[in-house]
Amino acid sequence: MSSSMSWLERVYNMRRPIYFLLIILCVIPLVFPIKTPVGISPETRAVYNVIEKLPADSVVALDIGVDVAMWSDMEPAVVAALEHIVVRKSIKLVAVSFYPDGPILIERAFAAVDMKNKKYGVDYVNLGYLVGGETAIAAFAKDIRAVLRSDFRGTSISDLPIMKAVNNAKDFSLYIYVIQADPATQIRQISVPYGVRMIGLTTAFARPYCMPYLLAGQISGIVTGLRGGAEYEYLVGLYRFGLQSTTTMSIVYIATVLMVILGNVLYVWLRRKK
Amino acid sequence: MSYFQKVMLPRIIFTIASALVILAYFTNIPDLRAISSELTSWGVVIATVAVAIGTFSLLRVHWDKVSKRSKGYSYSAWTIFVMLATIVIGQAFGLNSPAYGFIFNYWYGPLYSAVYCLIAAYSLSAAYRGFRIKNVASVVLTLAFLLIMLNEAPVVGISWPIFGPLATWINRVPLASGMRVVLIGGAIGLLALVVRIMSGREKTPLGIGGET
Repeated sequence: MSSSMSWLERVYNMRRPIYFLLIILCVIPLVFPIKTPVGISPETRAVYNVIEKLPADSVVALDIGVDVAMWSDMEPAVVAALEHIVVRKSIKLVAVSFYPDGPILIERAFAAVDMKNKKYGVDYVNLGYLVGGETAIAAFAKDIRAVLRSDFRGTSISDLPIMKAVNNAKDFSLYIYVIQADPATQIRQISVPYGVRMIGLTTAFARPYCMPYLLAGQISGIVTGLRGGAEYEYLVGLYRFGLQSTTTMSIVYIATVLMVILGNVLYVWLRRKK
Repeated sequence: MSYFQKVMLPRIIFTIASALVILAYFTNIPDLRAISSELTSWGVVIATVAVAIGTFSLLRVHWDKVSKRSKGYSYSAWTIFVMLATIVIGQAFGLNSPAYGFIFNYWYGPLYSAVYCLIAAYSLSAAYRGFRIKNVASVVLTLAFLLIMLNEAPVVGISWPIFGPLATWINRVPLASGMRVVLIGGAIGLLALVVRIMSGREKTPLGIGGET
């Protein structure tokens, strides 16, 4: 940086201090957590209400469509959904993934929930990863046994009590899709042809993709990112990573707003000086 | 390879398979649905084989770099080592084993997450330098950004509920309508691509070459 630059110009062109500031702002509230309130969005409440109204004999599908990099954004929502569906509502849950990272992330989510008296294979199952993208989703929806012989833990599907009444997508009362980007494939291959109601647990990045489907009623509700996860944790009565992160989210978002305002003030100031 | 084998045969297979699957999706003819179901099951098998071919191709590319001592060959050697170690451990102990879990939870996961987290740092820096009020359009964009950011901050959203309805309106009206344009435009483009492949004007997806 040129020495002839004024300190205002230096601030205007700074980069590394911003990265340093971001690290400090993220770490401090995580080390010294403060409980801050969180408002519930209508989309998150819709997801909660859809699950709350499911009949006791329902079977819910959970499709993990994110990779491990996005997991910290999605984990609170997924764990809160598992707690709500499997533990509180005693509804059966079949998890599957069309992303390679999915099955291990499902196992992580199962491990994070206190399943109490619920049994693997009876109340919930992890069917693992199915390669092939949209073709695999279509094949899975038509006939699960045609494309899967065993679950992720190696048990034959015919030996799993939970799978006795589940043959294709029609047997699911609800399809929960954990969305990384565009939810169109699952809507096209599962929700529309088989008439299965769908809700989304989406990354913050995927929210704009989901909005047209949400407004059209093809998705009944969405829980968006870490903020949505915090909202869902609050609704279910959990205090985990989502609610613990609300202070960090507030501080970082407000800092971003202040940085943008500062950048514009400096821009106008320096332009007038020239 | 003859022109028929190289160009016509893949196009015929693609056209017949696509037509059957599309027709089965929009109609309720049991025989057609059975054929479509069989074809999609084949698709899963082919995709599985494609993963194996992809793995082999990746190994071959990096092995070539290592054997020729090309620039950055040490990275290729490391790639081969990590790839083979992951495959061997996954096959020997299973994907649900502690050994495979160690690779996933303590190597792959943190590295991948760290790369993704860099985006957050760059986003803040880019927002600081990028959102400049220069004209009417940039004012609208910057104000929308500030409004959405403030509403997403939990403490602001609950302390000043005025931001809520405005942010909801931005999400549900301008954002949703913009995304509809993108999605519908993309779908029409995809349809056009399928017609071009069927008619032989687009050959790249069949691995044959450029446009004619």
